[in-house]
Amino acid sequence: MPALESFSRNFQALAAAPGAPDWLSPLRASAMGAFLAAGLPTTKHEDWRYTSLTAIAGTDFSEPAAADPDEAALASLRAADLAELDGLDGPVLVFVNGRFSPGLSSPGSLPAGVRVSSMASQLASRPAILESSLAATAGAAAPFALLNTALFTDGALIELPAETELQGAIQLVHITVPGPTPHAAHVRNIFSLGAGCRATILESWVGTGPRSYLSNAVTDVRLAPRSALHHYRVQCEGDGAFHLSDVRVDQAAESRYVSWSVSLGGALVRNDISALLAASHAECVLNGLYLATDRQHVDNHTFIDHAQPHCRSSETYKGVLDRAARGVFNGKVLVRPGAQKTDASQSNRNLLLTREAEVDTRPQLEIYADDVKCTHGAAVGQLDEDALFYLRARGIPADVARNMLTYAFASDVLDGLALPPVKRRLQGLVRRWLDKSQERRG
Amino acid sequence: MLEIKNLRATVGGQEILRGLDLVVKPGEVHAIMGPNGSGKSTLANTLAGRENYEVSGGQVLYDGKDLLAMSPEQRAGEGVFLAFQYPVEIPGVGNAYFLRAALNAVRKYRGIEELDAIDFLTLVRKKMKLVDMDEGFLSRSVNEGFSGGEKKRNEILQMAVLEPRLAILDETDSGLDIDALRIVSAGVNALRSPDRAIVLITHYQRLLNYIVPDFVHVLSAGRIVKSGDKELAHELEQAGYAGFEEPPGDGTPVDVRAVQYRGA
Amino acid sequence: MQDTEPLATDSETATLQELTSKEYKYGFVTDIEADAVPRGLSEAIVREISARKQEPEFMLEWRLQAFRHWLTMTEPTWPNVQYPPIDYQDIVYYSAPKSKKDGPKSLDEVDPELLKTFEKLGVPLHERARLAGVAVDAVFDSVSVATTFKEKLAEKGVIFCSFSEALREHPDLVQKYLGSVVPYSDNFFAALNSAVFSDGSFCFIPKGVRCPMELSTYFRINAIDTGQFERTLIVAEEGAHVSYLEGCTAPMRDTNQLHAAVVELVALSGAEIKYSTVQNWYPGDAQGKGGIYNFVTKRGKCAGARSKISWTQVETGSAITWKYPSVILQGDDSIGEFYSVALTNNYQQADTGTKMVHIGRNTRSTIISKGISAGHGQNTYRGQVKILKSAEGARNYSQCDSLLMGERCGAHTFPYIEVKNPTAKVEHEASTSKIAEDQLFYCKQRGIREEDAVSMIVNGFCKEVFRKLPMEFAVEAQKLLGVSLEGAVG
Repeated sequence: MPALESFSRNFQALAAAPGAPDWLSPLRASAMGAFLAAGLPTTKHEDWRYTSLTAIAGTDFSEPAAADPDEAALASLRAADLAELDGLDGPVLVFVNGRFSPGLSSPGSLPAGVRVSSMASQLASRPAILESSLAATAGAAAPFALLNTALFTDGALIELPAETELQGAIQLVHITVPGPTPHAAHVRNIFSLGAGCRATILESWVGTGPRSYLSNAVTDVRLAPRSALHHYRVQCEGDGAFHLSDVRVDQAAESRYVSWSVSLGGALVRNDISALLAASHAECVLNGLYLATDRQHVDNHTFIDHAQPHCRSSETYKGVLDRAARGVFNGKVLVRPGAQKTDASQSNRNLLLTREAEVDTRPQLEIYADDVKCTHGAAVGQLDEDALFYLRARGIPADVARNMLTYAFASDVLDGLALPPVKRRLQGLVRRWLDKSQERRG
Repeated sequence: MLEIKNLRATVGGQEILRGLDLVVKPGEVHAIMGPNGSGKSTLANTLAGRENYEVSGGQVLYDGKDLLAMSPEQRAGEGVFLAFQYPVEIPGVGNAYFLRAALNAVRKYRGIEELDAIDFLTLVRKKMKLVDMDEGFLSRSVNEGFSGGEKKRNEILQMAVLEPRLAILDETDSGLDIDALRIVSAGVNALRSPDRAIVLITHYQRLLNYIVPDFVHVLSAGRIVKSGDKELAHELEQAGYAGFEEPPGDGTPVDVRAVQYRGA
Repeated sequence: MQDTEPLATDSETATLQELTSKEYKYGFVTDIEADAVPRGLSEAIVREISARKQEPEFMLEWRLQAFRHWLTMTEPTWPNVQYPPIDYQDIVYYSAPKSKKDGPKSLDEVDPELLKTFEKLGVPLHERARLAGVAVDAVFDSVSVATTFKEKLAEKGVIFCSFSEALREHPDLVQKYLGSVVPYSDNFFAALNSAVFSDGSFCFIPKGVRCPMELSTYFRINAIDTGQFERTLIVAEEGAHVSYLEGCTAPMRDTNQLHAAVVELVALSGAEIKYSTVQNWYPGDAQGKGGIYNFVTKRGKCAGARSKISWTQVETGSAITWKYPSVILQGDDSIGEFYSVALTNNYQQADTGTKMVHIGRNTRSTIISKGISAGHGQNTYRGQVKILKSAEGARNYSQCDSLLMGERCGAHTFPYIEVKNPTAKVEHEASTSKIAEDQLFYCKQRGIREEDAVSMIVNGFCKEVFRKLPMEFAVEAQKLLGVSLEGAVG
């Protein structure tokens, strides 16, 4: 497979590069070994049942990412991404083709003790938290996390000391400017919140043009007791992108993790979020919205592990699939023995706009405790004909009415969003996507 | 018949009843009134034997027997009936089936022959007239999809069928419109008899216009702080519970047995 | 359970202990001489079975193809169940009660011991059958023993007989439909069944005929170390109607026994087949020793327009259940239904559900699944709803509810929803909870004993499914549920 061969070459190049810290090399080597031994999963694998990786497997990613990409493209991307976020306080870290770009970033002002830095700059100091993160992926079977351990080049390391409350948001902007041949960027983020912290982190993924590239991110989130993180992920990769992301959340007692995952771009997208509710009274809220068109394939996998009693989780994912797009949702809730008083709910709803669109949804409950309240629901359907008629009877043209209702369907996932600039931006993105889809329908 | 002595009960680690005394004799109707959080529902649930209502002190004698030592179904067998404030819905279990199972369980407990389906239907049809319910009720699932008024009427129907000796009506008037209140009250009044006692738990005086009590007690902070006849209810209507919000004095229980009036 | 405080109250624990201490009522062994083939599986055994049954050539050929295909397959590992490896060479693949003559020609010729067994089982054979209006085909170990009511059915043109007899009397019909819904290559256990199946029921309802009575088969595994591999084929021609009941029991044995059946249903245009199962194979003892491995493939094909296939199952027995009664909705406007109650107690494991494959236009399916787990029982619903591109206007509604009793059991819900047509409407809902404390208390306050209250609430929980069963079966199912949970259910 060209992909595997090119990953091997990338690995060798990375190992031979000067300045690689000694402690990291054996970890990378063993992860690479494990990745190559297992290979890329096929659709026979339950976790990849509806998502074929043949397009990735057949691509050669050996070209190193350009260190100084097209400045014009970069500027336009950055402008597009940030224009609407004026008024959002806090530092902005920009990564270009998987590497931190100090020139494009702005440090912002942060309370004492808060560390927001590029992962690459910290490697030499051997951060304990990175080491444990890498060790955790080594044991997991997730192929792209292994690949990430073997090949990651940079990312964001964010650490908040106990009882820190951050105003505004920390922004991470991942920009890819693809070169003439495909390249791969492997980004590794770690967000660690001390006891009682509150923070918001907004990640954007943007790319240009139809060219193919791979963006493979692993993010570790560690929440100490009573801490709360709002985590936004907005994925607007280029049309030819393979986007793979894996967010792993580890929650201590009374912590709260709230995520909004909005997926708009990319050719083949797979988002994994897994949350471990490792102590009582932890809460996990996952919101997701995916809009896909043309031949886009968007796969959202979530896994919530209720390991201890008195935890809550709720999950709402919605999808709109236009043209020949395919959506996949796989949400699993595990309630382990003894995790009594678990309250878990999950819902996935999908709208198919055309004959060629497809959706596969698999909500799953696996429960080993009796005093629990768990529900899930999944639905695939169309816009309400009565509502459509009602709008038309009031004089609204059919296509506009259809768009209004689709917007209403999609945007309620964003209703609970706390930061007005982010909410405006996301609502704007959804609207533009719908307008475009309507235009193309003519 | 019922003798509550210095009853203390906790819910979720919090002491709600703090030394409650009450004596109820056959044929009497007692109204227990009090502000929200004074312990009215706790008293009802404790008497019926609900889990999580932990008795931390005191004694309850029912016909001289230790009521608190009995399981909920034993208490029902002995003739203690609780009309729930929030009657629970039991999907898939038919009303008639449920009621017959309950009646026969109670009859069996009392050493009376169980009723067959036909005798049961005859009985229940007669009782349904009391609360103005139609046949349709019987085939529906227990309380499922019932309106607030229907649920309360269903409680009174169950009471009429099970013929308890001590009926505790927990906020039976809450959420009822005037017509429903009339029907429910008429049902309760029809069941008044010299060997049956009724304890009405209510927030408002309104119910007592329809079911006239022999005694009225004011419950505050887990104890009965004042007892009187039906006039007391009117006073409360006028003055509210303002005077009763704080626990009185040093927490010594008031002996209400000393102040018993006979109602009109 | 580690470090966590047990949340069950004493009275609950007491009830659950009672629930787990119930005895399996059908666990007697009948003392009958059996005529069996040697242990193990080979081409020779397949030929031997076919020869003993004096089957036509095409049948032997089919069996051999199935056997050869089976050799290339591996046992599925995806179900959420665990059991030690099965030694397929340690199973007796054919065991027939030995009769003095070649086979019973009428009930009078049936071994009286055998009839007594059915009497104990409550099978309404003989006069009782007539009163109950049920035609019964009883399969004992692997061979069909007697079919009642044959003549009355014959008047209407309904064929209801053992599979062996069908092969003798109606080979063309068998050849036409056998494997048309479940090909021998379908899955590991279906292939095994196709190779070695010994008997089963055959039912054919001709065009326009409404079957005048409920048809019924009782299955029983008696001989030790015997696998039971029966095969049922039901064909309803255009506009025909039939309701078919199936009941199952097995004696108590310390070892596990394999039951790998195949059921195929074919409904032509406007036909309707209602298939009801009450499965009470021996579930093993309270420690999880023994019990039946019930690995069954059931599938129906709504081949014609406006046809309807409805599966109703009450699964209380077996150590392990692996079955997914499915419907292929090929005809336009056809309807598929699946109503299921699955109960697992002690160490029982069930991985059951359905597949609804929507191919035709305006096809509709409904799935109602109720799972009850107690003791260490593990109960998995696994269901697939597949809407193909051609299935314009397809509708599916699924509801899967689980009830948990005791902190060591498990309830799992794994639906697979695949939609390739934008006009489809698919809805799936699932919930998992324990019996509500307030419901229990309400019943107790009205004087009902805790265990009666539990079974009352559980029966209420299952009502939607029981309603779909024919009357006699509904009563039996309620009783079984009670027996499986404790001692007495009203």
